[in-house]
Amino acid sequence: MKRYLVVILFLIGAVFSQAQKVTFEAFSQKVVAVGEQFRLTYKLNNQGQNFQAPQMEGFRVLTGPNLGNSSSISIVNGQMTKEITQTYTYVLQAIRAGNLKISPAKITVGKKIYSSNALTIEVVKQGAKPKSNTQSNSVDSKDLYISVIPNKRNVYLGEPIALTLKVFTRVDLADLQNAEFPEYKGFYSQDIKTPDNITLQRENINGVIYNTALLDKVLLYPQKTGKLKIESAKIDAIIRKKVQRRGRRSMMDDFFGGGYKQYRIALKSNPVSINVKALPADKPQGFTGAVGNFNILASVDNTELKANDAFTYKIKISGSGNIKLIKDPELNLPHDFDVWEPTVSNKISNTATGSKGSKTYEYVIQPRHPGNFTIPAYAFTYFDTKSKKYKTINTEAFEIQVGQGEAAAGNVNTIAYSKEDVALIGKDIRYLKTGDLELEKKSEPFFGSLEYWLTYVGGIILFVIIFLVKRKQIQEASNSVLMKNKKAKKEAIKRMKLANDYLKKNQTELFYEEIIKGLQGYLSDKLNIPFADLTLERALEELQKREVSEELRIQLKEVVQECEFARFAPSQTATDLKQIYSTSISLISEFENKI
Amino acid sequence: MKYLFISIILILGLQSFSQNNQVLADSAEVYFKNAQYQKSIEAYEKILESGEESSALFYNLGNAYYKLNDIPLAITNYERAKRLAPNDEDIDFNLRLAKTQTVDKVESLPVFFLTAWYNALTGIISTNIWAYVSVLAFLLSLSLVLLYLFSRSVRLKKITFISAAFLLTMSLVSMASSYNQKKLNFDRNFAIITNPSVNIKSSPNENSTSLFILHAGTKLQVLDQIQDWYKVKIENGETGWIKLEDVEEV
Repeated sequence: MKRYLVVILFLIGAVFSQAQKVTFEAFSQKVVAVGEQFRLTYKLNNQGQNFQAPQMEGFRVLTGPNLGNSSSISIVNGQMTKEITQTYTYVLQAIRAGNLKISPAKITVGKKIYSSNALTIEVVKQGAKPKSNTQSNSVDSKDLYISVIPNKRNVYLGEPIALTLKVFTRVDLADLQNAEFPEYKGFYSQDIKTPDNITLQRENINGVIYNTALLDKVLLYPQKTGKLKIESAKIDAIIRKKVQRRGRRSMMDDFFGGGYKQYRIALKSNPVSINVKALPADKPQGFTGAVGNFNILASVDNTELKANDAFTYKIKISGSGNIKLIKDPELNLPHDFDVWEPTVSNKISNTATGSKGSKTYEYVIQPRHPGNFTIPAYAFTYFDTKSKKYKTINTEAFEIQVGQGEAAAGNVNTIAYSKEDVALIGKDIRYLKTGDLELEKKSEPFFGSLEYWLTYVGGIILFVIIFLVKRKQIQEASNSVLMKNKKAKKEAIKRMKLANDYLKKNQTELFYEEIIKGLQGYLSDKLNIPFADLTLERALEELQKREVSEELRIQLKEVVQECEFARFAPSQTATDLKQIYSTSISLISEFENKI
Repeated sequence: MKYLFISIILILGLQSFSQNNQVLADSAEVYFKNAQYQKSIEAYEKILESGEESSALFYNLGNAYYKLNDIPLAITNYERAKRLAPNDEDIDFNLRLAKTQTVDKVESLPVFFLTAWYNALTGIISTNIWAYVSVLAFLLSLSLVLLYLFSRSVRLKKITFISAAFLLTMSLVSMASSYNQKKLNFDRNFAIITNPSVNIKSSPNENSTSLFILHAGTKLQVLDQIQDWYKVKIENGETGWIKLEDVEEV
């Protein structure tokens, strides 16, 4: 009954296994010594047929292939899972040294042929056997040591170093205890994930096969320049040694392992020094210490929005290097934007070649006022460890169009009113100026214009001209008076002579006329009275003004009156006439002196 | 004869031009009444295109822009109106009202009280009227000086001397007032920011440092121009550079 069940289960399993992904893998030691026996195992998670072994050049097949089958069935919550493992095992012996390849093996599952992975096995010539000094608890330092191994010893500031802590052994290592890792002074350190369980790996170190135990892996970022020293790592190794008893040796001892003794050996690594070089001096502006190899990408989720609406601006820096230590970008955003603190998300994994991943900055930005704004390109500068040069990479620039916000009232709220402005809230503007707008030709202000100054200059010139003309007129007028004054005597004397002639000819009428004309003309010129306006009274008045003595004035009056009278009643004698003539002459000469 | 004709035609043409402007102004007023502010603006702008202007025209245009909620241009036109009529109460009121809607509250530097008084006093009438008064007073005083020089009557001489001296003083005072008003309103070029928000730069270069940010409606004094950049001074005394396209000159 049981047998049947097994058969059925196998059949079901075969059905199930169709659905399962087939894996066919090869395992073996990576490093072996010449002449050493080792296993080569092919593992298939299915039922396979027709196993084709590969060529195994350089190896001697001691046994194999030995087929082994195992299967397990588990039922969880009514779900049945079945695991089948088929293994083909060889025991091989390496014949010659070198890197020997074992090409993939093939197997048929169902109707498909699957190939395993190829293997490379490092075969080394076996060196001297470890000295087994069974007497003491000391071990040769070549057979058991701890080492701190940096992948680089010459780095730039900020360039990551992968540091590996390993125990190398050629003796039987039972346990490792009290590990004491160095402090990484001057470095920023990041752990690299290592398997939790320490497993021994074979490694060829200069032709000698060691078992190595990987203790820890760290990524170090130098934070200062110069020779940085990494202090020793310490660990206690527990080793087993065969006890060689004097005398009888029981077979049972070997069998039960009783012939071994454990020793505790303190191991200490050699200090390691790392030379950290300063970055080249030609640091570009904006370099904040990023070292490695990076890429940058920026994006916005909206380029057209309204005032007071928010949008997000993302900057993603990805690549390898000291990405965790990258400083937050300094953005040159328009002042009018309200920018919140960015949310930073890291997706960083540490590997032996440095931290890899990305750092994303997400800014929420709220433009406060409408307008066209530019988010300028952000320039990220880093030191490229490959080309050993500074590199600057730019993001894209974005144009953001901000329209008028929803409600103008929202805008108004942001305005702070001064005291006197408060009174104006809610008021409307005063109405238009109606009627005649008093339009004028557009002109420059009159003040300071050419016309303006010309008016002044013109006024002054006019003033001067009027002044000069007027003055000249006055001068000329006064000149004519002077002339007349000068001419007056001449004229009078002329007339007097004429009168004298008339007197001689006894033409009395004409004589009087000449005397009167002579006196009148003389006084007119002398007193500057127009001839027509001249009367005796006026002449006497003028003479009085000019302080001519009364005697002379009476004389003048008498002469004039006599002449006037005589013209109409010519009865005077010649002596009278002579008298009048001489008086006239004397009067003129008297006046000449006085006026 | 030909010239006479041409000049008559020209004079007639000009007259019809002004009449046309009055029609435009009337229509603009009607549009404004009917809340068709855009059309009202177009009509007023047409008058401006003809080369004629007045403080009332700018004031009305400013009102239309205000109603359209274009505060920067409203302020620009009120400032233009104020330039032609410095002491008009309506212009002052509307300008103040428009300025409450701007974002920037720039504190102006304190003015010495005597200067403020002087400015207010000279602002009673415009620079042009002061200039005319000064010219007239000067010419009158010159004629009085002539009278004084050539008169013989002592009384007349006394009267003319005193009034000539008075008129000459008046002419000088008016000249100073005219100068002051011209300096305040015309010699300094002002501009109003029209772009909603502008970075004031430290040098006439797009890539230079942004000193501060200003918003639409803020009044700037233009100090200098290099290519398409203005050197400007805001009322609190700070200076910087701004692009031509971001402002409207008063």
